[in-house]
Amino acid sequence: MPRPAGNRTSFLSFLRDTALLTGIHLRIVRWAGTFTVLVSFALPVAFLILMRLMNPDASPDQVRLYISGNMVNAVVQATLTMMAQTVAGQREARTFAYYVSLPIHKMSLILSLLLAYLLQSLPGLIGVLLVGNLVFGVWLMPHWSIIPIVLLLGASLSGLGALIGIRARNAMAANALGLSLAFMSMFVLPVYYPIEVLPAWLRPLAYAFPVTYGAHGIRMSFLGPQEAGLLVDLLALMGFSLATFLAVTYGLRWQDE
Amino acid sequence: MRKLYKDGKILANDDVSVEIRAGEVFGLLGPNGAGKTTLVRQLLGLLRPTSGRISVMGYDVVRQPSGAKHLIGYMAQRPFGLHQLTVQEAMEFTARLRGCEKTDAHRQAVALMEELGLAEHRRRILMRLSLGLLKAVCFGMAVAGHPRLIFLDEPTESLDPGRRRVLWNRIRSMSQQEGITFLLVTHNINEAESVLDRVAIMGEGRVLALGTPRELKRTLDDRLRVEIAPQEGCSTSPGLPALEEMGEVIRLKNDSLVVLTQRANLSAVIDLIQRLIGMENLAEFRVADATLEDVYIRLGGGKFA
Repeated sequence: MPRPAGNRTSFLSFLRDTALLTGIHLRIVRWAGTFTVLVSFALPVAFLILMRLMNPDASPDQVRLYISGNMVNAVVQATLTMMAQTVAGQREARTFAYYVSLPIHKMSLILSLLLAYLLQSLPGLIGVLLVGNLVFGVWLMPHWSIIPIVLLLGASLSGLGALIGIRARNAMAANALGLSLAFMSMFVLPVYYPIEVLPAWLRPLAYAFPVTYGAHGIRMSFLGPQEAGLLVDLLALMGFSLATFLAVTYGLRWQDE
Repeated sequence: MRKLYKDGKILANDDVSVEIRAGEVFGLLGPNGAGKTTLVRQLLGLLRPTSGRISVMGYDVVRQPSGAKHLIGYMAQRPFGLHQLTVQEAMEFTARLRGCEKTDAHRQAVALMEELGLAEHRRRILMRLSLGLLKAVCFGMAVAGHPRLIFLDEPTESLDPGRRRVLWNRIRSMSQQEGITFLLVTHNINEAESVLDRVAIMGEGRVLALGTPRELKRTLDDRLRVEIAPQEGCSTSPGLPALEEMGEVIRLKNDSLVVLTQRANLSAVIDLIQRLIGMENLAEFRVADATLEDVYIRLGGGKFA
């Protein structure tokens, strides 16, 4: 028999529902899973090969930039782009009407979406790291500090993707917006190069996007423990994650109107 | 309660006041746009009423939504977009999200799949099912997890006759044996009549009539319905004035007529039809006991047909 209504708001119920909903989302994406992994893997790997061909004598610093940049790229593709499309698609298909008829908390649903897409980004991320080493003939392994950086980067980008999905007119528009933002973040923001390379007028824009901190943090993780810089990246990414989570919680119309 | 849409320009529900008793199967009948689905969506908490109050087993739907949602199951008119789940997963996850333990959820899903003829499809993803099978899955999802009040919006639409019978039987047994309350929105009036305890007939956002099917049919005074539909190029108009004197005449689409008449007048009505319209000009001629559908058609003055 179901739990009585009074217990439903307990933290354990919240966690249980979040885990169940994450299971649903992971099952929903499993049929597109190959495609998603391919999207988050193929493009960064293609870039890695291109970079190797264009710069066969890349210095260790440059190799670090290339590999870390493409790892960020993998996370961007699997979270921001896919999340935007999925949320808009679920809105169109009235899937939220199903969720709203269940005794679950809205935050549970949002958290489960973030978790599912975060988990989904991991195969591409690890794949890019391994292929990057292979292509450049090096053995670069990150410090454990990469784990919170990647988790928080994925969470902020998933949140950003969810916001696009909530606001976009339909799934096609969400996809176009997500892709535009993804490409902008790859080439205009300091993902493949340090922020110092950017013209001064563009830097404030770079600081307003989580990928800047994610790219810096991942890059630093290849150099070992860099506590001072890492703390700034972690705090900034935490702030972005929290802000997008709250924005999605507020922005997602649980009801139809 | 009232519900206004589009900045108060469209009145979807007007002065609706209904009490549904625990354990009854309550039907909402009415044409498209009568406000039935809007009413159900407010009961679910998907829409807020503009004014008034909705209470589900003591829980205010707007103020205490989680308490109310804990008690309800919902089958929407259009299937939810969880197309990538398998049949079994859809039912099990729904039961678990309604608070059931894993083994109980599994047991329920297996029993429901067996009963609804879905056992052989249990590993198929919803996207690959026919609309009829998908509706059967949606019914399973609505009843999974032991909800006490279940909203079903057009549950038998697209279902084959066998599954329809299973579904009506299931509704009846859950209501009678387990005391589950059902709120049913349907156009399939004659089929639903056998399971409905009470019915509200809606039109233009209002409740036009409310009662048991027997009470509503009693308003027809045990009359017979004579339905005639003309052949293409023919008309029933020549017989209209005379037929109106023999009973209540409802004009349907395509110049068809329903005459609700006393049993004693039947031979006179047939005679009028023969003389004034001509049997050879009719594509259809039917005589039957008046049904709940006739109450519904009559209330709409033919507009509901």
